[in-house]
Amino acid sequence: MDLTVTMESCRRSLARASQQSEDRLRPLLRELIAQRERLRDAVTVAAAELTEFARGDRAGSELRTVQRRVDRGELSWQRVALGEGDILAGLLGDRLARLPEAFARAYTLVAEGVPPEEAARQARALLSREGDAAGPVDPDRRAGR
Amino acid sequence: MTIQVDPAQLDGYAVQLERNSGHFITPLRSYCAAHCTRTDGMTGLLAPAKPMVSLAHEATSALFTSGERNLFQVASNLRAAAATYRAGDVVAAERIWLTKPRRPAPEGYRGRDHVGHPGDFRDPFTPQPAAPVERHEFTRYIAEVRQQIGEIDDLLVRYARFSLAEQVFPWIAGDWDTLRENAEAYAALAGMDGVQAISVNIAYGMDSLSASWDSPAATQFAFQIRERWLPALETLQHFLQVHEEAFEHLAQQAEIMFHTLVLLLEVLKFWVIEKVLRLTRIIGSVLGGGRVWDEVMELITGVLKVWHQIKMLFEVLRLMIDGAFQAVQAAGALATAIEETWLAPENRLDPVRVGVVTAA
Repeated sequence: MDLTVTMESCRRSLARASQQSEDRLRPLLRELIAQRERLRDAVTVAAAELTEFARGDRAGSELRTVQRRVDRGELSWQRVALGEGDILAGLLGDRLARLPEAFARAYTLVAEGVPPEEAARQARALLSREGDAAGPVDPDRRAGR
Repeated sequence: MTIQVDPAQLDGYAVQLERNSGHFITPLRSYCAAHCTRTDGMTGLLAPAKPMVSLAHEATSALFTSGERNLFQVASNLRAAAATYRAGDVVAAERIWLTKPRRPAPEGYRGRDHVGHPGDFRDPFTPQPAAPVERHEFTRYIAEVRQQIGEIDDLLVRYARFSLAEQVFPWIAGDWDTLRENAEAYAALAGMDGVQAISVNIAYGMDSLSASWDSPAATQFAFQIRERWLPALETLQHFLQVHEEAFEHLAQQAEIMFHTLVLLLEVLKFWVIEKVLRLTRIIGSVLGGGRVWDEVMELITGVLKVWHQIKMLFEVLRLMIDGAFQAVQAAGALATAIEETWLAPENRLDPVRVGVVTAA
């Protein structure tokens, strides 16, 4: 038996497995790093837009109250968005009461092999169709988000 | 036939070979039993690596057992030859190394003559592999994942009826540091504190013996040591290195998986924050009714995509474990080759009879 050949075949099978995993992970890592930067910026923009709105006349009193606390440095919108101080529920009211149902529908679809985008679209359609407060799709929605 | 022999020198080398055959058991095999067998923390994603740990340990342990038995046999045969020379039966003594060699020395083979240290049968090295360092690298990665998940899990549970903590922790919470400890253990066994010490010792003793024994049997014996035992020990070193590499590759891929997982969770966190901030604003505005569900749809899509990618990540790691396991299985062929190379001549359990039974 040629020991060199055997050694090489062991190392090749390792190298192959590593290569395969790197081929799959490297593009994902690159994409995720870019995505994280994009989203970090998007969060900053969304927080600025919310701040501007919350300081305006059209904002409800609850929103304005939270904004004043944000302005005093007691809170940050990012922490509020993550559920800190349980303030979010008060701001969102019952508008998202059916969100868990939509998620449940989407999970079921994904488990059946439906791609994530399509599953989310169907979950949304289901809720809209069933007479939720949702209106038609806003044609002005910015693309690429 | 010119025969030059000093039986005392043969005895001296036999003692050294016996001592080195013992090294296979203590410390090498005992070390492997202590440091290459841990699977208790291999849970979740790491569970499929358990058979790899067992296979690697069993194959290594079996080789050490075989090395001890066969090298001890060489020592016994050499001692028997010394006794027979001493008794004056040169023909019988010669026969021990001339009969039934599984692979005799080729015509004209001459072992090297090293006369720098004749009669010195001390071991230049004593194998003493150091215990692997206890590591906590992956503990940190797991803590990082836990922290990332902790930031968003309450929100996900409340609005998405989905707990990442429940879905992810059972898979990742194993003792991943075991992989590196295994790699380090096999590296130690392959190194100068492991099998290489035996290799250097028996080469050194062979050089010490060569000036005191010159005969056709001596040539066969030198061939056994220099062209069979030494290459077999070198292959054993490579065999152990393959195991080191298999565990190290796996540890590296697991590290990449953890980095990717943390990134994915960060992406998910920012995605959720952005959507919640937009929803808060839209819900606070009388004009934004329809856009609520657009944002919700994007939120759902984002969560589903990240979950899909986490599952893909786990799948990639599973494939990597399969690959590493295959490498360890392939190393089984090396183990067979090693055993065939150092296997003593037939009738090896009764060395003196070898000469008698097969007398021409």
